[in-house]
Order: sequence, then C-alpha cells, then structure tokens
Amino acid sequence: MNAHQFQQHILCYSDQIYRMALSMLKDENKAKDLYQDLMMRLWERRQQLDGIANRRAFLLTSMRNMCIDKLRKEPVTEEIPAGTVDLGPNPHQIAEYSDTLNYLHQLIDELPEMQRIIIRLKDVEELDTWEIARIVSMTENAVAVNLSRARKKLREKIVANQQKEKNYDEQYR
Amino acid sequence: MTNNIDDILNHYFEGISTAGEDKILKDYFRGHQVAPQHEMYKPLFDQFDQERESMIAPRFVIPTAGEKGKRRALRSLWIASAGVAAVLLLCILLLPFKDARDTQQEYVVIVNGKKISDPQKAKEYAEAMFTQACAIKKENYQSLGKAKEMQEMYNAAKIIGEAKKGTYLLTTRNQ
Amino acid sequence: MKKFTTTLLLVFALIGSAAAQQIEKIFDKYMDDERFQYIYDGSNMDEVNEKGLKNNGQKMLMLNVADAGLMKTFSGEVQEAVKAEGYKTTTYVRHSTNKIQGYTKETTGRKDEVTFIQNGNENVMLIWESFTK
Repeated sequence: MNAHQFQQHILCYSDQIYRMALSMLKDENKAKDLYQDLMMRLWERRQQLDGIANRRAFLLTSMRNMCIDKLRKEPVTEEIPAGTVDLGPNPHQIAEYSDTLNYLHQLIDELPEMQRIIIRLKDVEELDTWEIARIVSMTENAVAVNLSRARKKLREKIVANQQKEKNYDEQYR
Repeated sequence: MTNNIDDILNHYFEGISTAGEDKILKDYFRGHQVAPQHEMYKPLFDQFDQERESMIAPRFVIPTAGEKGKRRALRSLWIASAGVAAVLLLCILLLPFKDARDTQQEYVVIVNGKKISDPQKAKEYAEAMFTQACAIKKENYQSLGKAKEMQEMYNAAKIIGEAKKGTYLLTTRNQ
Repeated sequence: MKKFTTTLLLVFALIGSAAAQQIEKIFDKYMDDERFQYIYDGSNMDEVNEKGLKNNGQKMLMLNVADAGLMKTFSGEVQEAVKAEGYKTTTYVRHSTNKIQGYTKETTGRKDEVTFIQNGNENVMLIWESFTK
C-alpha cells in the first residue's frame, strides 16, 4: 500500500476513528495524541493492511483497543452511578440552544461506556448493528440491548428536563 | 403523519427501529415541521448531526523521510527553524499587523480571483451579498423561532389547565 | 547551548505567529482564489452599536463552486480554526439542507463573531465580524 492508497483507504475513516477516541477518552488532547499514534502504527504496518476485508471495522476496533489500553494505565475514575440525582443545568439555561447541545453532549458522555460507544456508532456514525457488534466484540443481540438501554435513558432524562422546565416556568412566571 | 412518527419514535427509543425508520426520523427532525410534542427530541438528533460534522480528526501527515537520513534531516530542520524564527520575530516586531488593502478602502470585493476596482460596484456587490446572508439566516431562524413559540404556547395551556396537578406530582415525587 | 538558543527563538516565533488569528489566515488563504468570492465591508468602521461595541469591519468568503471536496476541506478548516482559537458555539440551526453555525470569542477589549452558513448544496459562506469594547 503506497501513500496515495493509504490516503484513500485508511485516512478516509479519520473522522470516525477520531470520534471513537474522543468518545472513549472524553479528552480532546488525549484523543488527538492517540489518533496520531494509531495512524503512525498503521502507516508503519501498511503492507499488512491490504488483505483486510472490512477496513472500517478493523480501524475502529484498533482505536477502541488502544483506548482501552490507555484507560487501563490511568488512575480509575468512576463513572457516575445509575442512581445519582441529576442536578443538571438550570432549566432556564436549557432554553439557550447552544447550552442544550452542550447539555446533550454531556448526557451522552454520562452513559456507561459501552452504551455510549454503541449509541454513537449507531446514531452519529450510522453503522449497521452487525458492524457495531464486530467492532465492540459482542453479539448483535447484546448490541441491540445496550442501544435500547442507552436510548431509553436519554429519553428519560430529556422528559425529566422538560418537566423541570415546565415547573420552573410555573414557579417564576 | 404524527401517529407514524410517534410509532417510529417508540421503536427508536426501544432500540428496535429499522435503518429506514431511523432515516425517516432524522429527516423529520431536520425539517421545520416538527410537532410540538416532538420538539423536545429535536436537540438530540441535532446533537448527533453536530458531532458528526464538528468533531473532525487532526491532520495526519504521511512521513516521507527514510531511516538513514532522519538525524541529518532533523539537524537541518533545527537550523532552518532557528533562521525562520529569527526572521518571523523581526517581522512581528517591525511590521504592522493589519492588511493595508483592507484599512484604506471602504469595500474590497474580489470575485473569482479578480478585484472589482469600481468603488460603487464593489459597494453594491458587498451589500447584496451581506443582504443575502441575512436573508438565509432569517429564513432558518424563523423555523427555530416558530418552534420555540409553539413550545411556549403549549406550556402556557398546560400550566393553566394543570397547575395544581403539576404541583401535586412534584410534591408526591419529593416525598 | 545551541539547541537551547534555537528552541528559545522558535518559542518566540510561535508565540508571535499564534497571535495572528487562524480565521484571518483562512481569509488570507482563499481571498485571491478564483473559486471564491471575498468581500470586506469597512463602511461601518469605528461606529459604536447599541451594545457599546465599536465596529472593526466585517469580512465574507463565499464558495459557489459545486466542488464537494473543496467544500468539505473548507468547512473542516473553519471548524479547526474556531476550535483552535477557543470560540464558543452560540448558535446551531439546521433547517433541511441549510445550516447556520454561530461562534463568539471574547477577550480583553475585543469581541469576534464568526458565522458559517451552508446554503443547501449551493454555497457556503464564512462571515467574520470584529468589535472593540
């Protein structure tokens, strides 16, 4: 594989690979560093990339594995437990559209890691379930279950915030 | 149509929607005729679109230098960079920052690489382009404004009709 | 010693060059490009608006050519520039195939606003307005 082919067949997935790193690491600088590391490794082993059938799945799996390794080496930060009270931003602030988007980004980031990865692979990257299953090394059924849980959780939080906003309006009008 | 969307939305949140249904939902939320009861989900779909479009990978430069020449190339790079840095420093300290072209004239218009030299024509062109930009913004903001208006109206009706019930629910939930 | 001096010189140069805005670099890069239209409007220069901000002029770059690759590259450069300069997203409006993204950056004594409009598949516009407080 030469430079032109590397550009065409590997770098065309750059954005998706980077977003995988960003979703897992939740840190732009770390994601950028890891992305560059992966690209360099892939470039050095480019001759072995020719025989790969599903390059996208392979690349996303590679990125995911690198992120898992990186996270294992770092001090453990607990994910927010399921029963934590959602304080959220002031509903009045939610009315600002840009804050709404930041808030939703935060909601997605607060999902358990597997649900977060799967919902982004499905709804941001628009991949099929079978491909997601390959990337995260799960059965398609397990992917569907995680997706369902992620989306239900988001719906609950959106509806809860909607109620909070109504109550806030009621209280302060 | 609304019933259909309700069904698809339910499938979506249950995680059992098909690819076709997902597409219908995304097109629906990208349009400007989102029903009031669905408005609260629009930002979620916008968030997915925004992530896809704004989270872009940094540029990876394919390395070209061979192993043998690496050290020599690096040393030359240091020396060259020092020279460039010195020149840049001088430029920054001695030369003004602003583009002289811009500050001397009221309107500067360059179309497809060619500058419009007639000041009156440049002014007319500039005004037409900024007006077009404002018109596009206005047209798109209208849909957002309408959606917010409808949401407020909906809230007002609910608040007036169910104020006590809402308070009751809040009280029981906090117990 | 030699490496230390060269590093020091590099650092000075980088600080200096970083002061030149990345958004401004995009305008400089494409203003003479025959695929783009560039407009600078300084007609309201030094006027103070209702918010007490003094206008420093506004610039626009518009790409009309139906070149999906160039549109993607240009959009990517704009996104990178606003991120690198620490702009805050203030607006994101999507309507069918039209999209408007608004960004603001406030520093001591200065406010910059960037608007990026995607008008369906016909054209994209980048608008930069600068104000002094």
